[in-house]
Amino acid sequence: MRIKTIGSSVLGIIFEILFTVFIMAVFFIISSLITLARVWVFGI
Amino acid sequence: MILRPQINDLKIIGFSLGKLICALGFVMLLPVVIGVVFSEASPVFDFLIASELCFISGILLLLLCRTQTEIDWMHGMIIVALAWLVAAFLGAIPLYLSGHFVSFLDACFESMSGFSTTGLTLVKDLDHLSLTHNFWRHLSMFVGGQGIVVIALSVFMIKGSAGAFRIYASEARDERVLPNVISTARFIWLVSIVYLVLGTLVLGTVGFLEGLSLKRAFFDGACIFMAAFDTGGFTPRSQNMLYYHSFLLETVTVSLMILGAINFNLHYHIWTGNRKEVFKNIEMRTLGITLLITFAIIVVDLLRLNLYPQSIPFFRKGFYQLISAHTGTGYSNLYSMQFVREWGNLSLVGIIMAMGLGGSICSTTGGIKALRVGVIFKSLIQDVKQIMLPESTVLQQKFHHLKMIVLEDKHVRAAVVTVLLYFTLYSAGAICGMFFGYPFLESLFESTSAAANVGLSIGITTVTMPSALKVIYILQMWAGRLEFISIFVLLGFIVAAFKGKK
Amino acid sequence: MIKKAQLVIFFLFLAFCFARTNNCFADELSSGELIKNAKEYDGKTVSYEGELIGESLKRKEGTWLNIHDGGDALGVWVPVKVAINIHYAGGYKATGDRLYVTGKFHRSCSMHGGDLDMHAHKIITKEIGRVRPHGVSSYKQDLLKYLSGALLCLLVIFLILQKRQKLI
Repeated sequence: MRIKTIGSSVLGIIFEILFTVFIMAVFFIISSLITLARVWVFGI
Repeated sequence: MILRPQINDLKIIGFSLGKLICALGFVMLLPVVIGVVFSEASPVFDFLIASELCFISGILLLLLCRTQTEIDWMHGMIIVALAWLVAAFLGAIPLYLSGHFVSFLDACFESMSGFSTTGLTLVKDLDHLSLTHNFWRHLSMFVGGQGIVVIALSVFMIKGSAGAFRIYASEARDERVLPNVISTARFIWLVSIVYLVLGTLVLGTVGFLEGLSLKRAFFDGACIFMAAFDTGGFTPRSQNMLYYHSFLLETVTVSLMILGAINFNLHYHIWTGNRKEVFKNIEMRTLGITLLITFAIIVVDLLRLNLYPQSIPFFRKGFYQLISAHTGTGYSNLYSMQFVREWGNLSLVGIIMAMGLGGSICSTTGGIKALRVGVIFKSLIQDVKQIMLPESTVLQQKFHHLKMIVLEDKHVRAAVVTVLLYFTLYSAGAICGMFFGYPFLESLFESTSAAANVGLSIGITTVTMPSALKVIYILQMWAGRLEFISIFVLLGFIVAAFKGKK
Repeated sequence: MIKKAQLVIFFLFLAFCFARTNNCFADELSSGELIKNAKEYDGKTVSYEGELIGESLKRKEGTWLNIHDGGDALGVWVPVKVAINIHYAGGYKATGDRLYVTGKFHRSCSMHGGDLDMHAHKIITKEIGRVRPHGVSSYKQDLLKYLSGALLCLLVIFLILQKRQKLI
C-alpha cells in the first residue's frame, strides 16, 4: 500500500468533507429557492 | 455437466469458514471491553458465551476440515454465502441472551440487518438495552459494511493469494483498490478507521454541545458514526435521529452518509491527489443526476401537500429522508406513520426509487448501484446515436470510471442482469408483503428497503409481523448484500450434491 | 329565579369548558394517536404521559425530554420557565420517571426545524423512577464455565496437532 504522503491524504480528507458540504449546500439552496418560489408564485 | 461435490470441496469450504468464524469470535470480544468499562456484567457474560461458541465451532471446523488445497471461484462464493448466514446466526446469540428479543428469529433478523448494514430493527425496548449490546448492533454494521471477509483478509492473512482474491471478490467487491487484495482490504480499513476517529470526535462534540453527557455523547457518537459511514441506520435510541432534535447532528450524518456511499477506489484516488476524478467519474455523475431526479419527484409532492412550508423543515425532512434512502443508510427524522399518513404516494415512489438505486460499487451501500445505472444509460445513448448516424459508422462509446473504459457488450450485459435480479428481488418481497395483507406501496417500500439494505421502515417491520415475512426479509437482506451470484452458486452446489455426476 | 339563573350560568360555564378551547380540559392521548392524527391535533393543547427515556438535553432556551408511553417516544420541549424535576432517566440501569405533560402539540414545529413535538406548559411527575438491578443469572455462569472448559480442550488438541504437522 503506497500513499505518497500523509499530507496528500489529509488534503484528500478535507476535500471529501468539503465535497459533502457542497452537496448539502446545493440542495439547501434548492430547498430555499423552492419554498420562496412557492410563496412568490402561489402567494401562500 | 456439473460434478457432484467431493469431500475435499467440503473441507476447503469448512476450513475457510472455520477461520472466518474464529475472526468473528475475536470481534465479539470488543463489546466485552465496553461492558467492563461501563460495568454491565450480564452483557459481558453474553458476549463471552457467544465468543466462545464462535471459537469452538471455528476450531472444530479447522480440525475436521484441514486441507492445503487452493480455493477456486466456486469455493470462494460458497464460503462467502455461508459465512454471512453463519455470522448472522452467531451474531444473534448475544442479542437473544439480552432478553430484548421476542424470539431467536427476531435476534437473527437484527443480526442480519446489522451485518448487511440494512438497519431494519426488531429489538424490544431499545431505550433500556445495555450499552454493550447496543455497541454490538453498531459494530456489526461497521464490520458488515467493510465486509466480513475483508476483516479476515486484513487481520488474519499475511500474504495474498488467488484464493484470497476469490473470496474477496465473492463478497460483492469485484474492484481492487490496490494490486494486492490484502493491501486493498487494509486500505479499506484505513479509510474506515481514520473516519471513525474523526467522525466520533465530531459527533461526540456536537452531541455534548446539544446536551448529552460527555460519556453518552461519545458513545452515541461512535455508534452513529459506525451506522452512518457504513450506511447502516441503527441508532442507540428508539426514535432514531429524532431523539437528538439536532439539525447540526443530522448535517454531520449527511456528510458521513455521502462519504460512505463513495467507492473506496475513489477514496484512494482522492487521497493520492487525483481529486478531479470526483467530477469525471461516471458513478458520481450518475448519483448526482438520480439524486436530483428523485428530489424533484419528492419536491413536487411535498409542495402539493404543503407539508413543510419553510425552507429548513423542507430540507431537514425532505432532503434528509432522500439522502438517507439513496445512500442506503436508513436514518430517519420522521416517524414511520408519518410516511403513511402525511407523505403522498408520489413522494413515497421517489423514496422507493432512491432506495432501489443505491450508491456506488465497492462502497458500504446496497441497491442496484450507480455504475450499473450509468452504464445502462450510456448504452442507451450509444444505441440512439448509432441509429441516428449513417449505417456505416462505427461508434465507440466510452465512460470514465477511474480511467477511460470503452463500453462493451459485456459491461452492459452484466449491468442489465444485476438490475433485473434486483427488480425481481424487490418485486418478490412486495408480493410476499401483499400476500400477508399489507397494501402494495407499503409492501414495495419495505421490500426495497430490505433488499437494497436501506432500513427505512413504513411500519411493516415490527415484532408482530408474520414470522414467514421476517424470514423473507432476512433472505432479501442477505441476497441484496451479496448481490446474488454467490447465493446462486451455493444453491447450485446443493443441487449438484444430489444431482451432480460422480 | 336567582337559583335558575345560577344554574344556567353554571351549565353555560361547563359548556364553555367542554367546547374546543385551549387551557381547559386537554385530551390525554397516546403517542400512536398523536402521530397518526398529527394534522388533526396540530396546534392543540394535549396531555401525554410516559416514561422519560435517555438524558434530558439542556439547550439555551429550554430542555428536550423524550417520553415513551410504550408505543413510541415523543420529544417534549420544556421552556426554561416551566419547572421540571428529574430523578431518573430511563436506560439500562434505571427506569425513568413517569411524567404527565400538558402542552401544545406540533405536527411540524417551525421553531424546531419541522420536528413533531410538544411544547410543555406543565409537567407533573406521576411516579419517580427506580434503579434496575441486573444480576448475572446462574445458567449463564454455568454455561460459560462449560464452554470455557470445552474451548480449552479443543485449543490444546489444535495446538498439539499444529506442532505435529510442523514436525512432519
